[in-house]
Amino acid sequence: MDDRGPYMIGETATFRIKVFNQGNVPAQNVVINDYMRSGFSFTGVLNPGWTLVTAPTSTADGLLNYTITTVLMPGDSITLALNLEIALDDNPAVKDWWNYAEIRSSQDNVGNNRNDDADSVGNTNSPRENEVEPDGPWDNVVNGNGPTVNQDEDDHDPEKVIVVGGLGDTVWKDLDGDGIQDPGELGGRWRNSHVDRL
Amino acid sequence: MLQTTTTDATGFYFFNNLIPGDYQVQFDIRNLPRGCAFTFQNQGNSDELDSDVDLNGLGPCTNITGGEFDSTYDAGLLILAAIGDFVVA
Repeated sequence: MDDRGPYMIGETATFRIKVFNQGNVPAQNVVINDYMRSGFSFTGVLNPGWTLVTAPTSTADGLLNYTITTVLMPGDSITLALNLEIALDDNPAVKDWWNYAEIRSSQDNVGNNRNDDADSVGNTNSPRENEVEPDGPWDNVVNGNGPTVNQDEDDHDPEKVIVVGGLGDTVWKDLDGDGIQDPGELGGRWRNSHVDRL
Repeated sequence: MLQTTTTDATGFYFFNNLIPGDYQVQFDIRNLPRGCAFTFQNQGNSDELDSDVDLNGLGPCTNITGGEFDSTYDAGLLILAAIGDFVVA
């Protein structure tokens, strides 16, 4: 993440997804899933190589794909940039601005599908994987040994941005003294209201 | 004090760019026009239409999440004596 914010709605956040080849054979055609949530919107021109497969809704993650065209030798890594615009759905929640990426699939250097990662199951986005939170104990960990030993799946990782909010309304005259703003009970200018963060 | 503002001519105010967290709004009681007081707090069933502040102009603690724009935090003024408008800015 270049900058976690706080961001205004409409600003663009840049995520950086680092993909490691921890195996002992070259890897090619590595496909990345990004599970974009409803706090973001995707623009193709800002993201060469990325494809929007499914747009997010307020209740379901969207899906972006990227295929790494270079060969990753054992021990190598590559970092992908993903630029997402901060959006706002009808029922905003902090986790709308969390983002998860995962390895979908990969091949070895002779074109065999190699989805036999010892510590991860690709293309699953499982509830267990989503329990890993940004800044949590398994965030950015690439030496976990997988769910069979109650550890992190290395192929799946979170990041987040912080988005601002707002607070306000009206100062109005309660002409009938009932404590409720009725039609016709309008406001007026009021000096020096202030907000404190607790 | 994080931010201070003055309402517009219709009484509208809004604090923007709040990092997610717990917030409280204080309406400065020193600016209450003579003959005015804050009206009864939390009357009725609608948070959109009630007055949220106590007799001292202090509102409740409220949590603002990322991307939440809460426009229900208002203050009603009870007119105890007719001495003109309450425009004080």
